[in-house]
Amino acid sequence: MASAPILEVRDLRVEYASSRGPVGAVDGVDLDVWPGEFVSVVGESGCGKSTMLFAIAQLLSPPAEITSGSVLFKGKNLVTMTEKRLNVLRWRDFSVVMQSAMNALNPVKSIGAQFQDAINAHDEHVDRERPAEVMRLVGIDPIHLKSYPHQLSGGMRQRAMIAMALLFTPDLVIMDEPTSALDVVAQRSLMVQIKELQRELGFAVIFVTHDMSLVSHFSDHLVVMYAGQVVEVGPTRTVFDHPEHPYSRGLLDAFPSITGPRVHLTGIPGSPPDLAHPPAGCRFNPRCPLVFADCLVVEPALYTVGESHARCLLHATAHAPTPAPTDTAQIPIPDMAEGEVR
Amino acid sequence: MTDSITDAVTNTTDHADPSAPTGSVPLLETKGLTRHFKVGGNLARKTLHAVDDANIVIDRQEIVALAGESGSGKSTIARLLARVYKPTSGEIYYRGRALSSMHTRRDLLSYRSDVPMVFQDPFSSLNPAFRVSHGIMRGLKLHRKDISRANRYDEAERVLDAVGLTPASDILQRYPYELSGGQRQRIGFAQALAYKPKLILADEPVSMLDVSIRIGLLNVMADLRTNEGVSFLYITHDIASARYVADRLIVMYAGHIVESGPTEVVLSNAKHPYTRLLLSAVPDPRAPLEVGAQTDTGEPPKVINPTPGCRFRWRCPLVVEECHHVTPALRVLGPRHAAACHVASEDEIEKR
Repeated sequence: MASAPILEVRDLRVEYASSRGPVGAVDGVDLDVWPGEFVSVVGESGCGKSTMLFAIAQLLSPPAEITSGSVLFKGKNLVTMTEKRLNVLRWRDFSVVMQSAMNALNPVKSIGAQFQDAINAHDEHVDRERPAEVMRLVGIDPIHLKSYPHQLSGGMRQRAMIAMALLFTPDLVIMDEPTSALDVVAQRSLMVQIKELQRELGFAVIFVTHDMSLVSHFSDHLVVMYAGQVVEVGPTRTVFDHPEHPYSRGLLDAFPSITGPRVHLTGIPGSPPDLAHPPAGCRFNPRCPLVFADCLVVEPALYTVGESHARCLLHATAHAPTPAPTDTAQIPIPDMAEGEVR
Repeated sequence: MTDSITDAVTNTTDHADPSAPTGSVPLLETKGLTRHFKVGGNLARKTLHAVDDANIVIDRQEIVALAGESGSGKSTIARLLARVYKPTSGEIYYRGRALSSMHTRRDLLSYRSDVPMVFQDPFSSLNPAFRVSHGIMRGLKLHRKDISRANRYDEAERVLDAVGLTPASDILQRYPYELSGGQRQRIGFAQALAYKPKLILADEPVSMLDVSIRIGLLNVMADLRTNEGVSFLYITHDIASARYVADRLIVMYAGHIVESGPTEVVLSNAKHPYTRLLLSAVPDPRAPLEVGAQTDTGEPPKVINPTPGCRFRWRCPLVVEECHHVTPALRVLGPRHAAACHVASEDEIEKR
């Protein structure tokens, strides 16, 4: 592993202008991605995870705007870079796989023609065999370069998108829920394939999803986002085994298992806050089962807990409720009230 | 229900769903349900077999999960049961009475109010131009003659309460855009519930929702079953959620039912290789780390002009010669547990 992260995001803030004032969709996010690393970003819809990806790739368009912060990619700040210089980096050094391959591919052009578009736009000196090569990499017969998107199944379209992202062997591939439109079997095989390609070619991945269980076996680092902020970050296995933030614990407890006893689950009651008027103190306090007095007034920072970091006052010695939880490995969660409407 | 109907139903044992509880006339039963679609132009007319010979039984207060990949025919079954499509052949019996014998408007209305459907996409299945109350009140007006005009609003509040939307009077006055995805899908259930249904056809009701919200909806289904006595046909591709709510599990592949049985029995002792594949694909962070155990990249075939043989044979790890020529029938392999596979063994043999 190299000595410096390939991507350093520092204090990134994105706001959407709205009639009710600015909405802070991404609020002070820090993120490091090392070469060859698989970083997952999880959270509910509306937590700002997709906006953050778009901000990193400099793909935001009004009314969204980066208000502060920096995105250092290989030491160069993408935020202040001109479009012209960005164009050189895009696709060649970092590429993006969009959420819905159904809509991201042009329906009236063959897959091969769309590959050629990308090549023409970014680098005309690529090997002529390269499109066929990347199609084989993702497990599609190169004969489908002549096919149109509607002739491919959902899984194949998503693979074709990934093939296109790998055209110039980038160092970083950003994926926005690439598997959410797929069935479990196709989803599983795509995840295995992404992981294999990553091992083989050594690129880093930022993978955004709302399904925490999906990435448990594939990612190295896990970032949990809530209401525009990172609420927990740590090695994937550590976060899964010992979630330190009540929200991560809630996400983990939200899906049923196919093994073990059948237990009653509750999910996370309530819905994410309105980002134009986030609640005072901890943003999770209206839904938190462990809420105490300080949560309503003190805004928590990211506190170091073992190998991970959690944005929860339970881990702030100055604010922890009495008696302070001595066993930080496991936060006891009482039964949550059912339903999602408060 | 007369005795003659009971006899007529129970005598045809060759068609029955082996996993079903035996006894009285089931709430809903299909026999040899088949739906084909014509595809292609006039010169290249072909037949797509969406559902072939499906025998399903749904009993009172029962949640039956129908699992399979997209294109396996599970939504077609829901639409056949909702009378969106007419079956190519086969018959649906509702409380022992054949649907094809229902002709009067009154019969059809009463069937539709007894068996409503909840759709997959809560963002497009509610009319954005009307308040929430509109859809519920219309259903009440059309299907609930027992409720006087003055009491309709109270009933609307009651069904919203039943699906966990409070305060009901406030929610009734909102527009769909003011609600979250989970709340909208609860409205979908409330609309169905307003008809006082016996069976709700839920076609992937949670797949468009966030994982953290899905569980709440599954709990609503379980509560409605307990409190309102509603049965569910829960269509899903997520076996873990099927296990969470369903009493029985029916697995479909390429238009055929390949395995059926009580949920726990099927999951703990899956007979059909396709069921095993589905199970291995479920991401489970609680399970130990194992990458690449199953790297099946195949997808269910489009069943156009099929020849005899098992439709899973191209992806099957256990394929034998017989699979290429003979379509396997559902065989009873354990107590109320059946699978359509030539290779699957019976319980007794496996235990040895």
